[in-house]
Amino acid sequence: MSEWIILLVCLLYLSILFVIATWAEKRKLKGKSVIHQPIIYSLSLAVYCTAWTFYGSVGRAASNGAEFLAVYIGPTIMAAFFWPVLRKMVRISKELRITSLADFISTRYGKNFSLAIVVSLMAMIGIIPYIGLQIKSISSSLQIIMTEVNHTPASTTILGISITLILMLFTILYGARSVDTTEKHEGLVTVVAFESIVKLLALLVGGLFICYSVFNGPLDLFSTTSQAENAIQKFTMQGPSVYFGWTAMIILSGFAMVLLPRQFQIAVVENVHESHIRSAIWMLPLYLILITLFVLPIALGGSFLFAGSGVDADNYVLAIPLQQSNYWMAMITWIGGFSAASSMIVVEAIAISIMVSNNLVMPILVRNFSREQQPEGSFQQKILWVRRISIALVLILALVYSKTIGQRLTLVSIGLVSFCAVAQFAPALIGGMFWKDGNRNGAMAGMITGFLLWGYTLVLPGAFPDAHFVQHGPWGIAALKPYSLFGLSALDPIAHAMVWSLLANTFLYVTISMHTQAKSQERFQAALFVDVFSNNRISNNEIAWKGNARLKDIQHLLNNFLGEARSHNLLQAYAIRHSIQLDADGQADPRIVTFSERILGGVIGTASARILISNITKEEEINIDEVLNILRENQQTLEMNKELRKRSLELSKATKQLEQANTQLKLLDEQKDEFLYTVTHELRTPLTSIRALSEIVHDNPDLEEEQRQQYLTAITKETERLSHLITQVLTLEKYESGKYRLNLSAINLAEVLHHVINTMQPLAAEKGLQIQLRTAETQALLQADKELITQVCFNLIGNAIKFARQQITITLLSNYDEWQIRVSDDGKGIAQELQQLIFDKFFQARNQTLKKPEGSGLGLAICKEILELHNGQIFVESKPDEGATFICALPA
Amino acid sequence: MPQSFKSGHIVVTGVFLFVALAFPFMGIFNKPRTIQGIPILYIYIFTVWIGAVGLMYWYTLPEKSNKPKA
Repeated sequence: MSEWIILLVCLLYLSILFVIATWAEKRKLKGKSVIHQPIIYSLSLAVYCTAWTFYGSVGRAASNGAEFLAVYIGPTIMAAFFWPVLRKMVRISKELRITSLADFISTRYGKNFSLAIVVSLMAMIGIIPYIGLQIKSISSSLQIIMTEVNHTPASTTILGISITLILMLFTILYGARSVDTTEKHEGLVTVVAFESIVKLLALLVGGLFICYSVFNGPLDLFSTTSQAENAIQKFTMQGPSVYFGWTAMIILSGFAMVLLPRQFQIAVVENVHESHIRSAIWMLPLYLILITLFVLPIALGGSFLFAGSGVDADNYVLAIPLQQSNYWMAMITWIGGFSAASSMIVVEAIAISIMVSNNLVMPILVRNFSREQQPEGSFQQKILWVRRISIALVLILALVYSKTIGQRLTLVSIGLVSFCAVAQFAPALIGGMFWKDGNRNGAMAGMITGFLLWGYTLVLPGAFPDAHFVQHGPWGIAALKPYSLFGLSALDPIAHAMVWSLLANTFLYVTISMHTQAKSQERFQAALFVDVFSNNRISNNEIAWKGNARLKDIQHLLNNFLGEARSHNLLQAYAIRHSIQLDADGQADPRIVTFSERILGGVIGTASARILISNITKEEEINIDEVLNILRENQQTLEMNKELRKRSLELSKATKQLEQANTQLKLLDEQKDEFLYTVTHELRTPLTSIRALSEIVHDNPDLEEEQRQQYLTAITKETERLSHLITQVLTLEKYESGKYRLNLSAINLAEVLHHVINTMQPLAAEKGLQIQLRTAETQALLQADKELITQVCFNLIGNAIKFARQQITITLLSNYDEWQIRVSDDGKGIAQELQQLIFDKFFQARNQTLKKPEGSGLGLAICKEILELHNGQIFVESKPDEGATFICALPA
Repeated sequence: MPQSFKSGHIVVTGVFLFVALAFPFMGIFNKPRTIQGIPILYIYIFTVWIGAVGLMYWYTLPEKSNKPKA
């Protein structure tokens, strides 16, 4: 393989990236967005895995065993918090058109400008070395292959510069396309996702190559290499310093997953849909598992193959295939490493350049911004150029760093230093999302102190390891030694720096926030952030602006930044949606002003937009009471709405219940009327005969003694019937009203039946009937009111005697969990349609056409009531001319 | 409206993962022993890790809701 083939492959790969980016941008124009899929989002989040994963992890695994895994476990734990944390970040950023970390933090703390500058500078200082190291990894890995192929050392400087230039071109082309940074970078994100696939495949293929081509499978690799001296000792972690180091790396990398500028860019700014986060919760960790799977085998294989040969463990991925003279395999793994580094460089450069241009350069441009209309599009071009130059600047700085200080640093160490730098954003950013009282003073003090401590305990001693102040402390004060500040010496440098910087940062953030007051604007923003899911924030946002601005000024402003057509469309659409009258010469509606500020924020950053708007408006500071009132009113309205809805639900429920009760009452009323009618009717019959008979006796004093006796007997009998009837009506009434208290006791049904049958026997015998009791039970025990049950038996047997022809059969049996008394006669039976009705009160009375037997017609109704009082039931089985069987069921 | 899922369970899984993969717990497997040449610490970390991610996947599946649609 010759040198030019290698360069050709490089160029080919780079041009593939350009083709993919262009293709994705074209698809977007056709409305077939590529990035509108959860898997693309998860893959692009894997921009987290850089050349560090590719080269550095192998080196770290070769020297420190399993320790390298902490950097992938941290993001997995963070992924578990994606739904509550990342989704909130995405929602806030979408609502407020936030496009960078600096924007996010400064917007939260009252759109504060100095905060935006501090965050931008911190990100720049913390991240540019990290980008530099990625550039270095690309050029030095390419150099390794070239040297191996050519057997003459190649120059890394030329390689480094040319690759940086190509990546710069790519970043500018696809990362600074439009002035509106809230627009998605379709091409770029697609390329990042593509490179994530490439680097994963490359590392998997490389791993498999080492396992199967150099060794006979992974088990052979493990068993062969584990016999080497000390091999296994490396795979245990020893001492508290390593333990803390491990835990610190998990925490730092977890924060880095969302706080590194490139991660924020991909995870928050480029997020198309919140639901993609849900898939990323497991897809991203799965990716991390896969990409780390072969790191250890490669490290073990490399250590075994190159024992004592002086090959840098960081380069095992390339060195192993080269040693086997498999140049194509080396090329594949190199492309993997290149894809890992390049996607990081590109996205990081964009993220940093947006911060630099919006927060460091734009304010200067904007402060001198005149109200006069500029030539169409000129300002937009200016903004684009600022952004392009920022990208170039960031990459050139990184390149310079890689050629100077970066030469003797490793990927892993500088990566962790960057992680620790961005972790300083955590208290202000995450605290600000969940804690309303966190304020600007606290955030500022915390971040600056944390950042200074980070510089003192990590960067300075890293840059000058042999300096006097590192070894002995400044002015010989041992307590100020950077690697063991205040005598804290049990930790490794990273954990040490993390403990001091994050602790001081969080402590200051919390205590200062608690002891100082925030301004109204800031409190308002805090509420917007914290309550982003709970109320309709945007409408709040629009109200909370007081001031005067001419619509013309607003329009001019927007025209300059967005172009006349676009800004006109935006304003018109907004005005129509909110029914606002656009009066060209008059005052602008406050809602229009805040809306314009939001739009501008997407272009030049929130803080710059704030300056611009306040330039053209006469603003009154809204006082704190007003803000609180707006918020409170909103909250109250919400609560009132909720309460009202609850009330109306309750009301409709009550209405329904009332309706039901009313129908029931009406029914009962009808029944009562009917009942009264039948009762009086029934009472009149005996009364009439009593009266007639007594009149006869009264009017005929000379009636024969025998005759008189007969009449008087009849009167007595009718009176008895009358009183019986009245008793029964009263009894029934008592049962129905629910006032009757059962007198429960343990009774034996068999005994009761025997008693009733014995009593009724003479009556039956009189009519020539036989009563037969069939039962195997002698102890049919249950809890019941003995008197009432006896009454039921009397009624049923009495009825049977009335209707039977020859035979009455009474059966007592146990059926599952109930007792059944069946009283059968051999009478004429009951027609099917009457079987339900006979249990109604005065059924006989109301059916005068039926042949009327003796009795009040209340017997069965009473039986039914009694059984229902006992939770039992009564029903009848019968066929005409085959007799009837009354069945009482009582729960045992 | 997307279907709900067990986001709270996922957070708890994350906390457990942190506890299981930090000291002192990890110390249980922090021993110079191997199974088939593979260090047990390495086996432990990957088992716990893969298990946790499996659970997280499981919890992102839509919840079976018994409630009728309002």
